[in-house]
Amino acid sequence: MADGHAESSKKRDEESEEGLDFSPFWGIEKGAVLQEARCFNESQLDARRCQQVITKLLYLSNQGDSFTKVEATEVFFSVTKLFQSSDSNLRRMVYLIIKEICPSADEVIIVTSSLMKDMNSKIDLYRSNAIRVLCNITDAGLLGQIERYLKQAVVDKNATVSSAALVSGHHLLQVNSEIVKRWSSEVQEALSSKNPLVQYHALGLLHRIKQNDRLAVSKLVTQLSRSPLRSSLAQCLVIRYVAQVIKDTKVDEVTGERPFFDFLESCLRHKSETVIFEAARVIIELNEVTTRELQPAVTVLQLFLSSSKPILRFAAIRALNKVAMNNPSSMTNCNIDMESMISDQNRSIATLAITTLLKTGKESSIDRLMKQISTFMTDIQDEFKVVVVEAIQELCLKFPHKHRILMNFLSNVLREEGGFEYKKTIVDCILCLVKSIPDATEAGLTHLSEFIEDCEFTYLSSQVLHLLGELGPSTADPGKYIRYIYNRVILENATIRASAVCALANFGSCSVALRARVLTLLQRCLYDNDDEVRDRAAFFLSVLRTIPETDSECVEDPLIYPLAPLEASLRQYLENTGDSAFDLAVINQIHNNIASHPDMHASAFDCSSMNISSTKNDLRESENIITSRGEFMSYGPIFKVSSYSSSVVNSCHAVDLTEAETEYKVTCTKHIFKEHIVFHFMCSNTIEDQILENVSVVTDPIEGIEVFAKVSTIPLGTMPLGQFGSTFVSYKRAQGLHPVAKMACTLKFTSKEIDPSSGEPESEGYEDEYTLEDIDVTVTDFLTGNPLSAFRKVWDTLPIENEKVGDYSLGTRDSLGEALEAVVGILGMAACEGSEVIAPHARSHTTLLSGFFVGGHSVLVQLNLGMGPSNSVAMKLIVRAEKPYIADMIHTLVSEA
Amino acid sequence: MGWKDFAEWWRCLVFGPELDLALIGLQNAGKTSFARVLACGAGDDGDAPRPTVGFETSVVRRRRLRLRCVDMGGSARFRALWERHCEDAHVIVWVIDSADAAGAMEARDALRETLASEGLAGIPLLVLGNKSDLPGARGIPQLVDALGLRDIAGREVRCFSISCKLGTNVDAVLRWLTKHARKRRQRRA
Repeated sequence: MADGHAESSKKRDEESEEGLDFSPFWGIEKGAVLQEARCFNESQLDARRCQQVITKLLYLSNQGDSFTKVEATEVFFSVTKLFQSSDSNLRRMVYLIIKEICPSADEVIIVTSSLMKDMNSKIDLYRSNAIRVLCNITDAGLLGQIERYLKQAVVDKNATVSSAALVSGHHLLQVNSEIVKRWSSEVQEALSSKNPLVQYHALGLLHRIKQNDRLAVSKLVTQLSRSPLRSSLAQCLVIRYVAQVIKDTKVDEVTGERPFFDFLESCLRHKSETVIFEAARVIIELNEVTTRELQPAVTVLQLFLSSSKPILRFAAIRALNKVAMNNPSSMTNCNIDMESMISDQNRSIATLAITTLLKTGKESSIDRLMKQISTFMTDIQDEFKVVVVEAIQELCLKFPHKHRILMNFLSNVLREEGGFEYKKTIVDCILCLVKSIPDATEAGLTHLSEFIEDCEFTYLSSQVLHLLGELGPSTADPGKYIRYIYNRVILENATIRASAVCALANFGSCSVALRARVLTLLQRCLYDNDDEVRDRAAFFLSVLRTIPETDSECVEDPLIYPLAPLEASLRQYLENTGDSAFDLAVINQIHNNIASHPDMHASAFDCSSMNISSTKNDLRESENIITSRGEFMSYGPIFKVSSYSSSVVNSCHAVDLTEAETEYKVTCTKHIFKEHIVFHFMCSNTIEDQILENVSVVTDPIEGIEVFAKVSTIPLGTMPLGQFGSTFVSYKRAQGLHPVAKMACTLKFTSKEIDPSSGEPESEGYEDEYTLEDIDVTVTDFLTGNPLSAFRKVWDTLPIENEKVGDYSLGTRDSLGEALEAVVGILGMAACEGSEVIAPHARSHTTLLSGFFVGGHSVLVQLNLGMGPSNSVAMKLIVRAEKPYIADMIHTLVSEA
Repeated sequence: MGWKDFAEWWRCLVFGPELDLALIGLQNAGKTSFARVLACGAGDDGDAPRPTVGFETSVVRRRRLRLRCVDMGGSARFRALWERHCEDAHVIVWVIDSADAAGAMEARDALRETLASEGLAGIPLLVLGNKSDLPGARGIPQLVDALGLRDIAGREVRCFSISCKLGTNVDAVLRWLTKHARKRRQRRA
């Protein structure tokens, strides 16, 4: 630190000797500045000095120095004394510092009266600044008091005052929108101000006030599009709002014309470049824009391309780049201009120009382009290079015939200097090309194997080696890759060596001719320093030796079993500690079981790790366990798995008072079968010196006793420490009755203490039980979503006499989306035909839901939602189902929720 | 004589004497009204001022006298500020509602507490019994007793009965302030 200071002061001296400017704040320290701030307390204020100190404080705060609460309070209070000075410059600084360090609502309030006085003073400078500060620190109560003044200020003659009030309105909207909404007539008046700044702020505020009223916005925009505004920034805002309105309204189907398109086009002839660009950008981003609509926009952007201002060139090329993605044909005229931009001094512009050209380019122009790019690549930054490489990849996929020249280019750039991200992009690009263009495989592999000869990134090397092992053996001359691979074994670090061994083994197993050579090489690897490399070499050696001489079969991937069931069955195997050996066939059986239900198939595969913390994985895991139990095979396939959140029981129970924290963890998962329901309890013991045996959960129906009849209870032998063991209770469900129940649960177990001296459990245990939370079974558990593509068709097939209609009130909601989410959450059914998407600001909406009730009965629901005044949401629910009692159930479900 | 003192002396010579006042007192005693009366004379303002949130400063010129007033909010939450702003004042002005007998005890305690702080030792105290026009307004002797002004030692204490609404006795207060300012200057010289 001290050295740093000496150095910095030395540097400062040097600089001042050379007559250069240096920051007046160089090396200032918080402590010293706070000391200086005492000058605020002097009875005769030195306005100039105080200003300087405040500037320093502001500088520190902007540089990231934070003040402690005590410091901030002290500074704040001494600053309040500066209100006594009538120096206007000092007063400005006072406003700034109050805004910067307002310590807490309690304290900041004391400047309120002073600011209110300033707000009504004759000096405009005071007024505008006081308004800004006051709105920054005010609370709802005070806002009511000052609202009158703010409203006046909005229409003030002075532009800074009016602007300050409008900007404060923007800020206040977030805190107290109701008050600001009352200003709309004043804001409207400010909109016609002569001052561009005021106009801009007024328009922004007016739009935000009316934001939620689509009709009002549309009216506002229509009115504004007829009379151009003085301020170009405000005009830009109008264009953006127009874009929003266009997005929300539909294209006139008869004429095919968009509303407001004429307005946008007229903006292209505006005198301000900002407005022109904004209009062009909006046109480009229109939905399903036609070539005819694009043409005028592209033309003005083309003019911008040859502008002398770099910012215009950049904006234009960036916009054109977007056009190139969707409508490359509409901008062929610009190609000549863009080609000249490749040599632009600004590298961002040049890169964008190149990538745009790559997108619009024709097959014939590629050779020329690539030549230009290669000269250009050397002097741009890595991040630009990445963009270029990605563009080249797209180009190559578009024109596979040109892969040779493009691949050559890639290999050239691969050899040059570059960071990891850049190299990774190139390698990924080559990998992608190799996989999608068969012709390019050999060339790509050669380039890559040359690349790993001199590659400093372990990750990339192993990736390339893996690819070589995968694709190399099937090429015409696999032998040539072996040298590259074995070189890695000799020269590289352990990770790469291990990958190289795998790659080698692949060659050995696939090609009979090479096998002998590979075996020799692998033999040498047995003397490697690294365990992993040696292990892999030994493993592959023995595998390769077992393959018959003439057979050419790739080394089989040893992990053909899905991980989750494998782990589950292994756990169970360890739990039971049976005498028989572990049988892999069990897993296959489970796997097939799962595979017979396609939707569950996916979930079983995705589940690569047993992550207890995530509920979703919990469910899958639980499902896997259930399917692996023979007891439940007769129940048929699982209809639905759900874990009712309140049934996740985390029970704390002090068994031994000397233990600080003793707890059993029990979670419950419900598995719904056609006629049965199985509760799966996952229990875990967290107490180290006791063993819980013969664990079971006794369920006792409090409600729904007539619907559910207990079939069996499967206890858990031992509750393992820190891991989950399973116990099950199954019920048979009576058909046709309302399947709602509440179960009281008790955990029963035999507790045996572990003798601390021997570490063996005592032979005698005692029985104990612990009350768990109740489990609810609801109708939702028996419903699953079934997305339909042709809702109406299925709807018509269901008998109309089973249709049930009901009206519900959903109370006050923020939006229809929220209401819909709540209803769908209750029903647990799937929305069809994209009807769950609600248009922004919609006041009414219809959603189609479809699902199955257990037993495969279809249920279809039409939800008509409507939002009344004061955001109260009403819903009409129309249900059709195969069985009338199911439709009734849906209604009961909604009305009870 | 340091530079600061010299500067002040020079300013006094050119602009006339200066005086910093700190207006304190309970809520609704009439501090802001008094500040307004100083600034623009009595009785012209129709609506009563709002309660002061925090404080307000104003500069007033009357008869070659420059008065810098800090008008402090009277509610309990701002009382911690009084000391801070009274420290710099030349005169502490305690305004009391002379018609409010019920608040007398609170006023006495608040005044005592404020004057007890070290930073304010020796600063003269001017007590103004406002609202003398109301029926039931107490006279000066009662106020002196109610606030226990006789027990205050170590500072100059003066008490006036005024009415901001009618402007009664405000001139007398101003005269006293002018005299006080002159006296201060002489003492310094």
